[in-house]
Amino acid sequence: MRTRAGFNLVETLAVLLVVALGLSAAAGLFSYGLRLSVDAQARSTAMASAISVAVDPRPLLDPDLAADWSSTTYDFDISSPAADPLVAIDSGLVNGYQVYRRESTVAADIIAMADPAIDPGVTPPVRRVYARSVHVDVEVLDAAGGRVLASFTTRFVRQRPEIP
Amino acid sequence: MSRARAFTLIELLVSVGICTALAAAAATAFVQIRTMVQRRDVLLGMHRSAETLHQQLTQRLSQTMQQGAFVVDASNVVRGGVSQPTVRLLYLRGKEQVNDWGVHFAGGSFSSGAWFRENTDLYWELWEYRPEEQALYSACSSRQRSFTITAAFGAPGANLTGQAFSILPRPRRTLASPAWWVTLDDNRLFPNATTPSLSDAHPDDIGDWTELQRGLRPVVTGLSEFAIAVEAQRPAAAATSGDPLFRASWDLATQTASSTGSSAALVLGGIRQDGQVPDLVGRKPDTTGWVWADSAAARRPRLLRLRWTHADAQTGIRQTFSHSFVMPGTTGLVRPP
Repeated sequence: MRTRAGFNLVETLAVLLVVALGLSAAAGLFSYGLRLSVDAQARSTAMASAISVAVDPRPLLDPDLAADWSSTTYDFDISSPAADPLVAIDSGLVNGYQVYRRESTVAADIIAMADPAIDPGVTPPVRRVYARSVHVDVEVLDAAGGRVLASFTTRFVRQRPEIP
Repeated sequence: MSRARAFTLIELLVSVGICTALAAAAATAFVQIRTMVQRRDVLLGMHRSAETLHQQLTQRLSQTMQQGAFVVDASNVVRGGVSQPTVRLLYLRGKEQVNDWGVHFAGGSFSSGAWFRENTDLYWELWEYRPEEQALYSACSSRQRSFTITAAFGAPGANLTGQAFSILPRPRRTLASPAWWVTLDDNRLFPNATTPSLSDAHPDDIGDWTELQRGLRPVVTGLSEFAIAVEAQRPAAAATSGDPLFRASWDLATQTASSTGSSAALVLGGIRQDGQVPDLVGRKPDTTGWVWADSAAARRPRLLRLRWTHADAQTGIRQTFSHSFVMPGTTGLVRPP
């Protein structure tokens, strides 16, 4: 009579091990895909925060939350061009991200526009507009010292519209 | 005779024990992963909503009509028969171009051959935060309005009877505080005209405010806090305290809608970018005794800030978002304190 041999314990454990490894690999792939998707979305949403912070050095309204946002002194004194370029650096938590903002400005030319209706006391009649060229760099990280999700750089002219 | 060998009891117990341990570990890991994924999805959804809101407002505020009114308001509004605290933002989108229409209406009469400022693609946009629903609503009025002249009048040689005009009369662009919404429903062509026939609106014109109210739809839900702040071109307070010129917000702690200004609403007549900035009633600044810091130019909105908190009751996740928007025609940045 023929003997019917089944799997022994070692064989069964070996099969279980192989199956477990396969499942782990599949789970890892799934997890990796999910992380890629989440990262892509995070980069996209982080860019919105970067653009917002670029135009606004004081992004948070709530005083309690504003404590998360450290700020250096900004200077708009156009009368001391020797101090150029003026640099201000901010950092803190904005929208759940760690954000660094660096702004440097240099004095731009004084723009003079003939406008006797606005500045009648000046001869020749001019409206003086003081302006600075501003360069802003913003980096958005997922955490302090973490990965850079978005970076944004812009240049513009900041105008001081008061008539001196 | 040989016997088929089966697993011994010990072997079976070891196998069952290992399988149970593996199953328990897998189940725990599965629950942890599911919770993590759920929290990620919730947080991601909040960020997606914030990004969408940022993109929408960036695009729409860039089209803000330079001569259109701009309103930020925190007050109680009756909804469903109940007075509810509400935070609202209203502005006019559109563009202005100068055309030669051949006729010009000024001072109650027409003159011919005049260059005329034509305002096209004008429509009001309203954002309304409703704390009782924790939702931000939005609505947009019709792109154009139609007015039909029903009486015989017009410039010499130009009888306009029966012709339809798709324009937005100036009185409906420049709102007055405090009942700023009243003029939005005034759809007469020339409300100040003495001849009644000049005041005929199209019978289908239900009024912008009525239309906005009917068209309000939820844009974002799950917002437990909401605040709007407007930085003016030169906010008087900013030089010392850094406070924004005007802030309207819903306060979760006190359950009230409040503003930092002396009134519940900030109503600006226009946000023109050139030097000839009209005051609240559309006039140019006088050259005598005109103080820049007190002028409409100084009050012109330069930066709009929104702050809101997303809250998810199921996971307990809360995330506060703050986004800033530069108003068109400005450099956006106010000198920080």
